[in-house]
Amino acid sequence: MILLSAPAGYGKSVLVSQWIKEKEGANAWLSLNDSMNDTAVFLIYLGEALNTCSSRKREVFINLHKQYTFLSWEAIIEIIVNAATELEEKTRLIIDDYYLISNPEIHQLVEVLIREEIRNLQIIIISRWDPPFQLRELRLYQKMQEIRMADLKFEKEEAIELLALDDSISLTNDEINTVVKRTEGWILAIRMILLARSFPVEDNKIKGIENISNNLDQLLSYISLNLEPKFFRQMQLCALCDQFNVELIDSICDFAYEGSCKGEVLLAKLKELNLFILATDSDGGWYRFHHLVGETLIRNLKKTDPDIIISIYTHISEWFSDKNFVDEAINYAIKAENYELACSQIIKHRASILDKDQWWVLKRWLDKIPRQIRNANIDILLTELLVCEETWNIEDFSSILNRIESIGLENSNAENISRYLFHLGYFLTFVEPNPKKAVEALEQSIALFHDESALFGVRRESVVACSRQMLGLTALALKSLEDIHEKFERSSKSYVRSFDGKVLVHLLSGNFESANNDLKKILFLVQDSDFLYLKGWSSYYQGNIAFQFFQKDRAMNAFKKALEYEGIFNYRAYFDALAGLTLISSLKKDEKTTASFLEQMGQLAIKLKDRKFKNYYRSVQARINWHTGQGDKELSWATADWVKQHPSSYLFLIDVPELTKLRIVVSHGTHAQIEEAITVLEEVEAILKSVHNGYQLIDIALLKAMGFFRLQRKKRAVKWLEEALIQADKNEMIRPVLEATLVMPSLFNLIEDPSPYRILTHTGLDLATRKTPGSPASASNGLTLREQELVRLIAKGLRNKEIADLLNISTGTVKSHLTNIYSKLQVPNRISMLRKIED
Amino acid sequence: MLTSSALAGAIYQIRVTGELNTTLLNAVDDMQLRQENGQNSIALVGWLPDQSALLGLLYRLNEIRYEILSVEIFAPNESTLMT
Repeated sequence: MILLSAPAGYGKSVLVSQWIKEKEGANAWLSLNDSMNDTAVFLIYLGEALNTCSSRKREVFINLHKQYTFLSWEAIIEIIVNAATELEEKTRLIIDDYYLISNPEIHQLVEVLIREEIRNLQIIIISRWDPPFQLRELRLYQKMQEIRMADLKFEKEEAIELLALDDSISLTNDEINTVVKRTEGWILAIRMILLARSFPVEDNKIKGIENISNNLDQLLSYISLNLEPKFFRQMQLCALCDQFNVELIDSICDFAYEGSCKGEVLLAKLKELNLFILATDSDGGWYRFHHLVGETLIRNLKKTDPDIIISIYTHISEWFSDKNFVDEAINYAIKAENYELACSQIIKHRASILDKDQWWVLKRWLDKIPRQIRNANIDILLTELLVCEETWNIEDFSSILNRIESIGLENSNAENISRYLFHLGYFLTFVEPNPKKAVEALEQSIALFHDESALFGVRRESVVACSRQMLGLTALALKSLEDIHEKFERSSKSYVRSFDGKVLVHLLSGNFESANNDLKKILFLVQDSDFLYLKGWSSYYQGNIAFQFFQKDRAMNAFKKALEYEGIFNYRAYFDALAGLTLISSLKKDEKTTASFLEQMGQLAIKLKDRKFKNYYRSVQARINWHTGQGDKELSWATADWVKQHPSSYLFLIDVPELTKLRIVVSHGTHAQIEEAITVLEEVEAILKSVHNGYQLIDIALLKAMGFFRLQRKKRAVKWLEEALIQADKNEMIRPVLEATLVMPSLFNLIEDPSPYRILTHTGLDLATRKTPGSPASASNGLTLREQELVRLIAKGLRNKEIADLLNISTGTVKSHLTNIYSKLQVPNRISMLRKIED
Repeated sequence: MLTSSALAGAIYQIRVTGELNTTLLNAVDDMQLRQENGQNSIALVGWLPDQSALLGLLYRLNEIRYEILSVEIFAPNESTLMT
C-alpha cells in the first residue's frame, strides 16, 4: 500500500497520475465524492473501477451492491477479496480523496484489502489526513510506503524549475525566495501566485510579490481581476458540478448566463491557462476543478450571487435525469434541498429500471431520501412496497401499508390508488393470506386503472389468479391468465409472466402435472432471452417439481441452474433450491454430497443478514438427521416454539421449518407430544385447505399416519396412509412416500395388499423398504426408533460406553434400553438379540 | 508560518474526556494512553509524523465521540518527559 497523506494542494493526485503513466499494469482510479460514503454506492464505483481497468468483465464486481442487500458485510468483503485474488494482471487501485470516507464498513473493507496483500492488487490511498487504519502495524511490517507533506512540498530549486517551464513569468532570485518562504512549499499557492503574475504587467494588480499571502480567496480574486468577468462567472457555475463536460457546461450557461461562451471554448481556455482542472475519466470527457479551488469558487459565488445556486443545482439535476443518470440527478436534487424533485426523479425512472428487474438500484435511490420525507410521499411509499415484495421484507411491508392507510389516498390519482390496492392484494395473498379480501382489493385495482405492462398489469393478473385459486376458483384463475396470453407477443416478458402465474396456481393447487406442462412452455420461452429473473424462477420451479416426482437428475440439474441466479430472484426461493439439492442427495443416500450442500447452506445462512435463514438451514439439517435415523437428536429444536403456525410460511416451499418440526415430533416425541402434533397437523391442514393449498397435503397425511401408528392407533394410521398413497399415486408424487419409507419403514407393513398402489409396486419402493437390510426392527418386534438405533450400533460392534458417547446419553440409559429390548425380543443377551434380529 | 513540527513530526499530547476502552485503544494506533489521576480524562501521548497524521487521529477520536480537551506539541528535546 502506498499512502499519500498531505493537505489539499500539495499535488498528490497529480503525482500519482504521472507516476502510474510510467508504470505497466492496469489502473483503477476511484475518485471519491460525498455520496460514496454510502456503502452500496461505494461498492458500485469500486466494482466499476475494477472492471473498467481489467481486460475481462467480472459479474462478481457488477453484482456487489445488489448482494449487499442480503449478505452480511463480512461476506461481501470475502467476495471482494476472492475476486481480487483472481485478478490476472497487476492492478493498482487508487482511492483518491479517501478522507471523505467516514463509514466504518468501507474502512474495514479497505483495511482488509491492504492486510491481505493480494498479489496483483496494489492499493494507493490519497487523503488529506491519515485514514483510521492500524498504521503502526503496517509500518512495522513494512506493508506501507508513506508520502507525506514533507516529501511533497516544493523546495526553492523545484520552484525555479517550475518557473523555467513558463517564459511569461520572470521573477528575481529574491522574489523566488519570498514566494517559497511565504507559501512554505505549498504547490497550489505557488502556482496561483505564478498565475497571477503571468498576466501582462500593466494590468496586473499585484504590484509586488510581498503583498501576497496564502489566502486562497485573496489569490483567486487577484486572478479573477485578470480574467474576463464572464469567463470567471462561468468558472464559478461549473464549480457547482462535482464534474462537468462540454454538454453540461453549455446547458448550465444557456440556462443561467446569457452571452456566455460555448463549453468547448471555455474548457479549451481553462486547459490553456492551466486553471486547476483535472480530467476525471480516461476518455477525457469529464473534468473537475481542484477541490480547494472549486470550493473557493463556490464560496465566492455564494458571496456575489447566493440566490442562483439552488436553481442551478435543480437544473443540473434535471440535466442528469434527462441523460438517465438517475443517481446524479437525485444527488443534485438533494443538494438543491429539493426532495420533491428527488422523489419525482425516482418515480420517473422507476418503470425503466424495474423493467430490467433491477429493483436493487431502486432501493439504492430510495435509501438516499430521508425516512420522514419518504413517509409523506405516497408515490415513494408505493415504490418501496415493490422493493419489499422482491426482498420479502415482511416487516417493512406491513408498516408501509399502514403508513399509506394513515395518510389516506383521498387526494391521489386513480393509478396510485390502484397500485396501493395491488400491493394490499399481494400482501393478503402471500403474506397474511385472506384470499377473499385479496380478490376484492385486486379486482378493484384492475377496475380503477388499466395497465398491461409486465411489471404491473400482468403481475397483478398473476396475483389475482393466485388469490382466486386460494378461494377455490382455479378454473377462473387459469382462464383469466389464458386470456392474457392472447394479448401479447410470444417473445414478450408479459407473455412469459402470464405462464409464470399459471405455474404458481398449479403448484399451490398441488397440481404438479399441469405445473410441469406450463413450466415447459416457460423454459422454452426464456431460453436465449435476457429475462434473468424469470430464468432463475423457472429453474427453481423445475427443480421443485422434479423433486416431488423424485426425478433425481432433473431436479439436481435444475436446482444447480437456479443457483446461478444468486441475488437475481428471491432469496427465500434460492435458499429453498439449496434445500432441495441437500434433501435429494440425502434421499439418494449420497452422504458426501448431502454434507457438502448442507455446508453450503450453512455458509449462506451465516452470510445473509436476515436471521430467519439460520432457522431455514437448521430445519434442513434436522430433516437430514431425520432421514438417517438420528431425528431424536433434533427433538429439543423441534419442540421449541413448534405449535405456532404461519400459513404464509408454507406456499410451495420444499422445506418449511414449521412442518419439519412436526416431522421430528411425530417420529420421536413422547405420546403426549405426538397427540399434540396431530392436533397441530390438523390445524395446518385446515388452514391450507381453507386457502386450497395442496402443495404439502401428502406430506401432512403421511405425518398423521406416522403419528397414529406410533400411538398404536392402527386403523386411523391405515386410513391416512391410504389417503396419502392414493393422492401420491394420482400425482406421481414419489418423494413424500419415499421419505416416509426411509424414516419409518415399518409403517408400510400396515398395507396388506400393495397392488392397488402403483407407487408401491412400480417404483420399487415396496421392495426397497420392507426388506431393507440394515433396518432390523419391524413393527412386529415393537422396538422404538431409539431402540432400533441402539440395535444397529450394537450390530456394528460398538460397546455400551461407545454407544453412550455417540448418542450423548449415560451408560445407565444404554443399559436400561437394552433391558427393554431384551424383554421385547424375549432374548437373554446381546448375542441372542443379534441372532434374532438377523433372522 | 509552518513550524518544524508540521513537517518533520513531533511528540503530541492530546487530552480527551472519558474512560479507557478497546474502541479507544483500536482508534489511537501507536499513541500511549494514560488515565489521568482522579479525573474523567485520558492523555494520549506519542510521536506523529505531521499534522495530516494528527488530523487523522483527531477525526477518529471525534468519530468515536471522545471530546477533545487540548492538543499540545512537545518539542523533541522534551520527549524525555514522556517516559
